Amino acid sequence: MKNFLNPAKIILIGALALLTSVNSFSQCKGFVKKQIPKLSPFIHNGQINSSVLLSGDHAELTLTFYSGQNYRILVTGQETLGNVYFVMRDASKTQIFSSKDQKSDFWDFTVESTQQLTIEVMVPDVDAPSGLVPSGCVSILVGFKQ
Amino acid sequence: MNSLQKLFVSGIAVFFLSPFFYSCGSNKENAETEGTDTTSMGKSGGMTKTTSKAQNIFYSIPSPIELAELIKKAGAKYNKDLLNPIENKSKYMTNTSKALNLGVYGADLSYTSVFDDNTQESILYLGCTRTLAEALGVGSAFDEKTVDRIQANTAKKDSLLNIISDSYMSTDELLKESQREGASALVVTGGFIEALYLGTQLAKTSKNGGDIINRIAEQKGTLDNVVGLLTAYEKDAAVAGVLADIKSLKVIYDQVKVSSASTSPSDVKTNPTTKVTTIGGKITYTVTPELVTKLTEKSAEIRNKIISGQN
Repeated sequence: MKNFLNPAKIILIGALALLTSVNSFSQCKGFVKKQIPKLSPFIHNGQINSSVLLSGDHAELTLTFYSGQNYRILVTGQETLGNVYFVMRDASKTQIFSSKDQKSDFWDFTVESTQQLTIEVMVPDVDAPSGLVPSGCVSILVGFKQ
Repeated sequence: MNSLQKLFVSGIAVFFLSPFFYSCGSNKENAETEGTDTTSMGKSGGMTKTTSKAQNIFYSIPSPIELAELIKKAGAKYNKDLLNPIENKSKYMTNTSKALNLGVYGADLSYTSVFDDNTQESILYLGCTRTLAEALGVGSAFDEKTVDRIQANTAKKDSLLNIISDSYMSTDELLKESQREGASALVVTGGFIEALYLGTQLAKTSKNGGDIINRIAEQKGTLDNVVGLLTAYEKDAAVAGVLADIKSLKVIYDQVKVSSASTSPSDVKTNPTTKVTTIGGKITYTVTPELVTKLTEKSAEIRNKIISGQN
C-alpha cells in the first residue's frame, strides 16, 4: 500500500492521464472538423455535437426538423469504436430509420410536418482482449437546405 | 473480462478522460428515458452502470440561419428597423450580456444575409459579432480572414451562409474548449430569442402572417431544448437568471396544442433515385390569436431586456 502511494508514481500516473486526455480531446476536435465537409451541399447548423464515448455507450440528440426543409444527419465514430450506427425515432419513440444495415454514415430526409425527432447513437459493445474498454470520438452533425 | 472488471476499467478511463469530456451540452444533467442497458457518465465524472436507461447527452437548437430562412420562406419582408442597433454593442459590460448579444447579433447577421441586397448591413452586423466575440476571447471565430471571405462572397448566398455557419461553429467550439459551456448556451439562447422576436414582429405586418405564426408555434419543441440546455448549466447564476426568463416564455408556449400520431411504416418513403426519405404524417400546431399576442409580448420583453444589457 505504501509503495502504491509513492508520490513519484502518483505524478507519473497523473502526467500520463493528462497526456492521454489532451490527446483524446485534440483527436476529437480534429475528427469532427474532418467530418463537416461530408455535409455538403447542406449547410451545417453550426453546432458541434461530439463526445468521447466508450464501447457500449449510447447517446441521444433531439432536434426540431421543419417542413419544407431538406436535412442530412451525419453520424461518425472513430475506428476504435467499431461500427457506430444511429436510429431515428419520432416523438412517440417509434423507430423510423436505422443506419445499422446501411453502408452510409449519413441519411437525407425531409418531413411533411414539423416535428421533433430523436437521433440515438449506438456504440457496439466490444469485449476487448486487452481489458481496456475502447473509447473514441463520436460526432452527430446536422445540415439543412431548402 | 467480467462485467465488474469492465466497469472498473471503464471507470478509470473515464475518470482520466472526464475533465476533457467534450460535448454540446447536457452530460452534466442526464435526462433519462426508457431505453437500453447502457454505461453512462455519472455527475461526478465517474462511470455508472444504469439499466434500462438511456443517456441524453446533446441538446441542439436550429441555427439562426435556418430560422431566418424559414421566416423568409413564410413570406416575411426585410425590415432593418427590427434589428438590434449596432451602437448598442458598447453597452454590454458583463460576460453574460456579451454572450447573449453575440447570439442576438449573430441572428441579425443571419437575417440580413438570407435576404438579398443587404451586403452593407451584413458587414455592419458582422462587425458587431466580431466585437463581442473578441470581448469574450473568441475573436478568432470572426477574424480578418472571415471578413475577407464574407466580402468576397456577398453575391453567393449559399457560400455566405456557410461562412457564417462556420463562424458560429467556431464560436461554439472555442467557448466549449475553454470550458465555458454556459456561455455557449447563452449565445445559442440569444440567437433563438432574437429569431423569435423577428418572427413575431414580422408576423404583425406581413400579408402572410398566418404562415409566419405557424413557424412561431413550431418553436415549441425547440424552446424545450433551450430550457434543457440552460438547465444543464443553471448552477451558474448568470445562466439561472436567463433560464427564469425563458421559463416564463415556456409557460405561454405550453398552451400551444400539438396533435400528432405515431409514424406508421407507410408514412416513411424513400425515393429510389435521389435516396431522400420523406417522413409523412400530419402534425398540427394550434395557437389562438390571444396566445400569439402573449408570445409576441413576452419574446419582445425578454429580447429587450437582453439588448438593453440588463443581464
